[in-house]
Amino acid sequence: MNTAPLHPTNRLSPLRTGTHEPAIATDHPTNRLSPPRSGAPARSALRLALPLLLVALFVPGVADAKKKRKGQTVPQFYEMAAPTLATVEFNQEFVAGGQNQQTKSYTDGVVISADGLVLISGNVRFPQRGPGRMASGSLPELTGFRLFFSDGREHEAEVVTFDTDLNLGLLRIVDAEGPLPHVSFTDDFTPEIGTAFRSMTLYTKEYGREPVYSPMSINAMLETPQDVWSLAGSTTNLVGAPLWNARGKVVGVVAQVPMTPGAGRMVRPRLSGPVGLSYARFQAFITDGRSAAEQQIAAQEKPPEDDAGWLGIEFQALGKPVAKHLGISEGGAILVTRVIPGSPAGDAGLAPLDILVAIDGARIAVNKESDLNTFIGAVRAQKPGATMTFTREARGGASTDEVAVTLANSPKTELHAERRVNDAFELTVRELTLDTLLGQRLDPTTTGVVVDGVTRAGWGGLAGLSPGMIIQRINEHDVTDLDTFEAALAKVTEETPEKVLFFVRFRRDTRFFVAEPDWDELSAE
Amino acid sequence: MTITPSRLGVHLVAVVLLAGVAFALTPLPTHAADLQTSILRVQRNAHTALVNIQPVTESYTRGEKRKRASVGSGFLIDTQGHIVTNYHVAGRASRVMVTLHNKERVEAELIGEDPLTDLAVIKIPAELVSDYDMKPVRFGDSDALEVGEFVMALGSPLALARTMTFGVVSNKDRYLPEGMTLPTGERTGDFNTWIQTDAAINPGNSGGPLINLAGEVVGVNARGAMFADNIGFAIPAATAKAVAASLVKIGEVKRSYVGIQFQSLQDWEQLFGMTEARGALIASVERGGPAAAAGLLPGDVLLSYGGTPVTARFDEELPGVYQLIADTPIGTEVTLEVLRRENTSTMTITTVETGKLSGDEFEAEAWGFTVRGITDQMVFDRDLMSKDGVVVEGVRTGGPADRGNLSRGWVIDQINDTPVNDLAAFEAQYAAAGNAPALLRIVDQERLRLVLVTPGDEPTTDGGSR
Repeated sequence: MNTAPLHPTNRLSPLRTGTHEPAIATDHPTNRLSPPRSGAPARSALRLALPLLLVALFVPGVADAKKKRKGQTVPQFYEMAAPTLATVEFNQEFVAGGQNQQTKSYTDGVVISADGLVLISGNVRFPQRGPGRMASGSLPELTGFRLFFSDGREHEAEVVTFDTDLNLGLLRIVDAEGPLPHVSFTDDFTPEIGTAFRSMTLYTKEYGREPVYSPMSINAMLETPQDVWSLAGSTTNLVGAPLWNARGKVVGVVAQVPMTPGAGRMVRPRLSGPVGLSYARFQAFITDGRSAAEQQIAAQEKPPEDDAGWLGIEFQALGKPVAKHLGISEGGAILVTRVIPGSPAGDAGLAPLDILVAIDGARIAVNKESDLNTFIGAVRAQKPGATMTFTREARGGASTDEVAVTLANSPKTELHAERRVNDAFELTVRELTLDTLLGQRLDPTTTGVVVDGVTRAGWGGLAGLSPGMIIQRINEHDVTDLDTFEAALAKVTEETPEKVLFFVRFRRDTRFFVAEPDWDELSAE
Repeated sequence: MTITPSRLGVHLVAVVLLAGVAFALTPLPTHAADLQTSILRVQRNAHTALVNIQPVTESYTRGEKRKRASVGSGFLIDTQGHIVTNYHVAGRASRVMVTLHNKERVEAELIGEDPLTDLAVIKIPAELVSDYDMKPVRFGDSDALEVGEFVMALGSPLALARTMTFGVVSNKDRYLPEGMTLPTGERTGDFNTWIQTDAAINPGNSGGPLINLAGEVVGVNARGAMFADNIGFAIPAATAKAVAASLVKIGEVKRSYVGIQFQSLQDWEQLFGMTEARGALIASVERGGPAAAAGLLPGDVLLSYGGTPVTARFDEELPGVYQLIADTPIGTEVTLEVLRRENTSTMTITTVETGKLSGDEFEAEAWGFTVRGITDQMVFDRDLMSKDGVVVEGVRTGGPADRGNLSRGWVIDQINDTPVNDLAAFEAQYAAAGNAPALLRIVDQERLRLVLVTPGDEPTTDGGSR
């Protein structure tokens, strides 16, 4: 039950309680050198094509040059736009109501470069019950991106990046050969009331993936935020659907008022209908996304993740203003924000607030957060056992010293943790990994197993166990790892006590949960 | 709220007609007539004590100091002019206006506040009490209440002053789960269960009295269940009376604190090999608190505290355990009887003062953010690394700190390499920095960061607040 103090301003505003707020990762300048995730084989062709494509973005794409002045007719637009649009199918795995959920969902995507960068709605990051229907639950794991075009082409894709503020995302098609039909953007555009756009989405598979044309227009200019307009016209457009001008250039995208709090907070005026987001507004996102894609491909050409070395620090870009203020030499630097206890960096003597300016004598050319990939890539390129020498600069640029760190094996992450299922208690647990410990701010020597999934009406679920909790004892049996967990439950199942006590740690709290197993039910099976 | 006058008129007519018919057919039974008489008596005796409170509170949102007006209720408890209300009504108020029973508006002064029980006391000049013929109401015995007993709620629901509603005590011992927080962010409700009533309680009723047929205040109306009908909650008079007395006397409530979170034992005495149903399970022990210093561990069972047996077999008994500890004189050395894995032992703990739940706020206007001083309770509530520094409460969109990527919740413990251990030190360093760029050292959980704030050159923006 939800109770609230009886303040007039409190209860009369249902929005404050009726909404679900997923745990959205904020865009803090936090970076972790956790082991990279495994990916598909490298696509070097795409990388080579990238510089060319940057240019291609700003020249007419598929549009016929002769028609450009006059503008396109609607059938011409239709013919040009249709092959750039795809239905994006993807899988989500998330925990909702104490249970692991897997859903297949859909959104629209538009190809924005010949090498297969695809712009999509940022809403895909949030749990969905079906196409466009939000569910409550943890932030999902996104897998299995497939693109279906109206002309029958199908491609696989991977996530490149998302922007929380813009609520937009970028995918990268990984199995395309040759140039793909794509849209071209322009920021040479002066919006005004009544400006007409052309827009297009695809019908779903059941309706033959037919492209659907819809005219839209600006019905209000919004002063704040800038470069955002209120739109009139079809509301079938999903977030991220392109807005074409009459000459076949994309001048913006639809940024429908997001359903999920936190998403699109920068571009969300208090409007109920769709809004348009100008290309000027997300140009930087596309540019950065392109460089992220390049990094991604580069990283995949490197040895697979198990071979990547582990340094064990968190860091941020020092930034030019701070560097100048502190008198640090020019050229870029990172600021160490945290050293993981027991990590190679800690053993080598690196400390929080250290300013690192070079690796093995080469300047760390990081001047802003978006440059960090170069540093991350440099570390990940090293194998365990390799020694990296960091140049640490003191304030005022007066002195430097060198710190040699021998990289260790990457610690296992939640994603790759071993899992065990207990059918009687309808409980899945996983081994306790360093990322879970750090995430819950626990001492790295903490032991136990982590509840990974639990059936709400099962014995474990009824007791109150929920994902993320760390089980440390079951009745009088200590649980330190998966084996002792299984042994403890085996013992309990043999003894069939009336009550089974779980001693649980979650963040800084300790809690006790009691299961009341119906042992007869078990023997009946 | 919308009321269509014409429709309201129709309803009134219908109600009057029906009542007339009923009365004509069956005369009101004697006991019903008695009830009516009692209600009228309560109303006549209590209505002069009821006030409508319009506080103006200062709040710090999005990195700026703002004023906010609201409406609540309160009741006069003595001839000196003391009025009891909720902390979430009048607490932290910079100015409190009060409308009396005779519709006169006067200014009141804030005497004391206690967020842990969500209570506050304000005062109007004593001469007004006699000049305006106001009669204080007295507290009754909330422990003696029975479920089903008639009660009336007096207050200003939806700012509609001088409203009475009627119902019964639906539950006299309602335990509301932990984690209740006030709009201002403090936790509340540790020390009492709640009186649940179906007397209609709406926003604006906060701080008004719940009165029995004897005309005694048995509770202070404070909360309502969201999206429910007639599920309201009042702070029991037993709690309100003691807190109000302390607020009148010394302006605050002093409590002892040991840093333990308890859990009820209902389901698992047998698992600890216990033969009798007593004790309270220690669920968490605050890092660095007195209990941790004494060596208590989660999983221990507290059997007695200072010689008083402790029992929390059910959740409803937990507030009593917290109250027992709070009532210990601050700094007392207390002997505990503790059960740890079937072995009973004796431990000694020294209580500390609970202190303020949250520190004062300050707006560093030129830097574009607000900060709050850190109290011992905040270290626990927010799981901070230590008490040193000030915590960032809000960052003005587009301001210098926003451009330097400062985030809410971060702790600033140094400015230009000078430690700022508390709010006063922060204010001093802020003043000393003037318009020059300032380097802030940040503690962000286990991380250390640097943020540079450069005053000036702020783009005009309304921060999306249109």
